[in-house]
Amino acid sequence: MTAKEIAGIDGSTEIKTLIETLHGAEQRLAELTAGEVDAVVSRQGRTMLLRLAQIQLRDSDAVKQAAILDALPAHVALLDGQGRIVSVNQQWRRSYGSNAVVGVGCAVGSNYPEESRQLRVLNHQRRAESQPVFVRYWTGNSRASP
Amino acid sequence: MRKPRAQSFKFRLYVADRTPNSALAMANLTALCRTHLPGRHEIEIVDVLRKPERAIADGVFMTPALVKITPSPIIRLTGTLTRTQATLQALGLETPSA
Repeated sequence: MTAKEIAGIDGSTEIKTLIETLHGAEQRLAELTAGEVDAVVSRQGRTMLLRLAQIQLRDSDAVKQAAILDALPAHVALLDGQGRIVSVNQQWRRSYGSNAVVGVGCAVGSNYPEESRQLRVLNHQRRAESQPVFVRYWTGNSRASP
Repeated sequence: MRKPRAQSFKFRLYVADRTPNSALAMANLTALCRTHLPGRHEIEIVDVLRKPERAIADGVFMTPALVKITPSPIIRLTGTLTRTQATLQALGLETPSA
């Protein structure tokens, strides 16, 4: 079974044309408004953020999130839905290096549950030093020292 | 004879969340009002991502967009309002220089 069949989407010429039209329309809109427009609203009330605005908003959110996490004195790792570490805060990097917990093997990209045993050991050591490792889940749940 | 009271201006600024152009328009409008309309202006901010129906009702189809509600006539401007002189002229706050 091909990807086309699974998705139930016909990769027809019409779709390709629509994609080109979409990109072309956005580019032309940016040209006509000197790049000063962020979003457009259709007559039906559907609002669409233009691509550049989406990128800027996403980057701005990322910077804000990083600033908040970096301001925390605790060691913080963000996990995705699969338990992989997607980023760590400044305190974490300062203590364990730019991208990894040296000696424990729990780095950005690694699977947290698989590393939990080692991390428990680390947490135990951290607790002993009054520096607990806090882990905040990407989904919004949070807890200290699993 | 009593001096006629200065007109009060009511603006509605349509933005899209905290996107850079919207934030810039907000800052420019605030600065413009502080300088040229101190104590006689009112600004309402409307986020089209939350209330698109209000944009449609005001004939706004792009953001950032400014609508001058009062005094009449209603004027719509699209963009970041960075060109202060042009904005003032469009709003009738300054006559074009000869």
